[in-house]
Amino acid sequence: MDIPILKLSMLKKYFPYKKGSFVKAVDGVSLEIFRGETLGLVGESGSGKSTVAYTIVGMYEPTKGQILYNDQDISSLYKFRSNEIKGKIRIVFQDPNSSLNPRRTIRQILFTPLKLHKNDRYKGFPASPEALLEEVGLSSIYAYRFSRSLSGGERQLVAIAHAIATNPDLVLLDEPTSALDVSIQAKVINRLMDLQNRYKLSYLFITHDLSLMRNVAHRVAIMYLGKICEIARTKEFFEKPLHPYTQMLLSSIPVVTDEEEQLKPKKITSRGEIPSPVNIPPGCSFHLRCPFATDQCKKLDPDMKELEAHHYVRCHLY
Amino acid sequence: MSSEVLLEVKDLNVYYRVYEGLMHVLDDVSFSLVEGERLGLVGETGCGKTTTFRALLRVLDSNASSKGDILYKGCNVNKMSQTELLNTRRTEMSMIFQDPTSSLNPVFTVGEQISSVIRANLQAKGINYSENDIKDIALKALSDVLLPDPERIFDSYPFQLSGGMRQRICIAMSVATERKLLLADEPGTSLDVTIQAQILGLLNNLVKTTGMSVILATHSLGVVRETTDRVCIMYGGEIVEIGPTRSLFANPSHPYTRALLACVPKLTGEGIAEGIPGEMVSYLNPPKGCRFQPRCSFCNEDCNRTKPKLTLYEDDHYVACHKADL
Amino acid sequence: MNDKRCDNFGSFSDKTRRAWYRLSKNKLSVVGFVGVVVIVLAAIFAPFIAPYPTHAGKVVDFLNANQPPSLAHLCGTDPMGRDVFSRIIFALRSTLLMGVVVLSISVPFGTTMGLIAGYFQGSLIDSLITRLTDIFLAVPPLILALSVAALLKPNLMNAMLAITITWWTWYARLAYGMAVTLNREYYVRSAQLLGASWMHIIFKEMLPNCLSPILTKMTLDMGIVIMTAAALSFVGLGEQPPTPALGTMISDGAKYMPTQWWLTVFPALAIMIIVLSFNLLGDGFRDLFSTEEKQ
Repeated sequence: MDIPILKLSMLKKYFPYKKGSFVKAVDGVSLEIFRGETLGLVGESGSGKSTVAYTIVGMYEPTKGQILYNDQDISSLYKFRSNEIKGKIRIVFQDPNSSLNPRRTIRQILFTPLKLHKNDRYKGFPASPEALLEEVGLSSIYAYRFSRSLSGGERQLVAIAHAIATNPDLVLLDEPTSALDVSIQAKVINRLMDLQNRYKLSYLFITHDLSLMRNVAHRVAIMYLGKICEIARTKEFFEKPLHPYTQMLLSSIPVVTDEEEQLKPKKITSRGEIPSPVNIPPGCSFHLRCPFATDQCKKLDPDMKELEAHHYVRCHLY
Repeated sequence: MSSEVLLEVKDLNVYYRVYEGLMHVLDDVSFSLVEGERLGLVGETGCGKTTTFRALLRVLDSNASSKGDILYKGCNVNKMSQTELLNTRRTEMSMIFQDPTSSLNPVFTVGEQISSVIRANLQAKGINYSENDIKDIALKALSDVLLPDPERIFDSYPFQLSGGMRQRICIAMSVATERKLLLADEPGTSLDVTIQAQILGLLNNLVKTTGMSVILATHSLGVVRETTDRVCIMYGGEIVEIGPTRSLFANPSHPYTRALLACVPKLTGEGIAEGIPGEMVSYLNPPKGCRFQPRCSFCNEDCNRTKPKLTLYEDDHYVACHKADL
Repeated sequence: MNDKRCDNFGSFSDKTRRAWYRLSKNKLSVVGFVGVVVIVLAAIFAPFIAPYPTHAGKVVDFLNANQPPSLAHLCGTDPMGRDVFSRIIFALRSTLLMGVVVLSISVPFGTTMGLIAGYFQGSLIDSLITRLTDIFLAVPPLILALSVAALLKPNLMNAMLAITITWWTWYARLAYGMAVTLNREYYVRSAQLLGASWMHIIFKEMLPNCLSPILTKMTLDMGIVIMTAAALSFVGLGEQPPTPALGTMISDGAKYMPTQWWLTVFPALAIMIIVLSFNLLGDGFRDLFSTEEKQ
């Protein structure tokens, strides 16, 4: 098997909170992303999925654990990373309004990464802002406009062009389409898939939308309170969801056709809310909301088990 | 379900005056709602859902003007006096907003805010009350929306609560005293799916037990499919298709409805659709004929010239399209 | 059709027209705008506008001394027989020059300092710059300017220097606050993650986003700088006679109050009009930019 392009091993990120206590945003996450693969990281707000992405790009320093990029340890803040690594791992933020500078033209915005990473790109990669715009399917006349005269979808496409400008290996997509309408989302997603095929990009796709991941991701991981509950190949994941939390998520999705209705697991009524990451319940962190919780779940945190090939679950039921 | 008509909107037009000229946002919107009915209002960002709600409650911005009849229990909202209007808002209709964080005042406790709503309602109805009555009503409303420990929540500030709890409080405020019509503007959008499912389930139960009517505006087709009796599909300030939820989802006939349904990612994993080409209409200069025509793949000369009217397609299911038979 | 609309949307002339449309909605800011234009034009074309251009210099005309306002001398004449109106027009020159020079030095300097401190929030540079501004802000600006001007030779240059030294700190404060907010914007983070230098981030990413509030403050400050300048020249630390300065004219005229009231009242009125015009325009700018942000 080939080497993963990115490997997280027992990554932890705690933020100091009131005296002596910590917000355990990420609490031991291990995962691998391979070249050309899309890994969907799904979770509710407060599950720590964005913190994982921010730690990978170096906005935060990991409290514990390692981030390996091509077997090279890069677990440090962005300041201490080489320019090359900065160009190889890029991130697209959720809100394109805030990720594009309102006082700079699209051309100026796209020129910055091109200028800073002149030498890291291979020949034949789009080298001008106009070429980048065309790469993401926008007309090059947009180059001299400001972001506010673009629609939400177009802005996000510019943000994607900005991210791929350095010819990256891995792009972290932090809810790139959750602020967009479905018809626009479809266009953006198609463009992302297209870019992935052309440049063998790997995506870590962070989202709360499981139906989207069914169509986009190669593998899906579910995060709950800073830990991964279940990780599997997309097909198996949706055909045989094992973790009760996954089942609860799946049964809560509002769907539009009868065929989809049949794919949903038997109604597990959603109850309770995600607890605060300062006070993570002892034992399995999901036991307060889990309909199958036993005494064991209240005491002992389950380990990750590989039940079938590439299908990992962290639950006492199995 | 009684079949008495509660709300009837006839040819509602809303205009906004801006620097570039006159924006014609709502164009002849007509629909009606019977008591106890759940109506869904679906469309993408900027299609006029929120404007419709604001026009119904007459809380449009100062540069907007609205024309047309909004008959609530036979009274025209657009012609009511200020007192009548206030009384209607206090006792008959209420609205839930998308963002529960900004619709609660951060410097007052939940109890103070919910009590003031109840007080205004009771005053408008001319009922004598004591402060204890109000607190009782408020606590009952909080427990009706399945909030644990209502006493504690009554005394807490909005920032001490989670998003789902805040949205429950907004609902509690709307249903604390008996209302006939609830306007819910994207009540679950800013929440997680599991919490959204809880909130929608709660709304459904409230409708069943109190018999009030709900208009639910959302951009999520899945949500309306699971929670409404009838659906309006809006595009560019017009209703393009309206019909019973079941029949509309089984037989979507407007090209826009079909395209929109195709764009929703499916659990069956059949891939992602192409998306709808083009952009949302410009309200400053809307196309002369059908507003969806510039983005429609079935359009012809006719669509360019004349505006299609809502016509009966099948049982109670109306479509505004020249090519709906296709 | 759609593309055409968008292109027009961003073009310069359309932007200016849009801005004027919004500015013109507030009648008072239009008054301020017209006032500022008139004052600036009057200062530039002083020799052509002033009825007695020579009266700005060493001229004595005792025959016409101490005349009250009349058609020949709109604002009367002073004890030397010089036309007060002409002297006011000429005084506008040094007054405006003062404002422009002070602001064009203190604003870029103060803004840069503030942005650097804000960008490196929590570092040693931050504490150094903030403490320095705190020290300057702790002393009332007029007192500081007075002591600086008194230490040096009293003339226009030194008066400007004195005001500049006290003025930059306000802009450092303003820019500091904005930089701290902008630090959290994703485009700034994104530039950091790309490996952009701090110079790039401060001058290319942050600065353009600070310009509107700074421009507003500059317009409002213009009036205050002019007042401070008048106060300095009032106590004799500004422009030296015989070159006219509004502050000097007031203090000289004060001796002849109340009989020869025109010597004091008209220069004072001039200061008031200048300050008011700039303030009204500044308010208009503030409204303009705040609505722009909202859209």
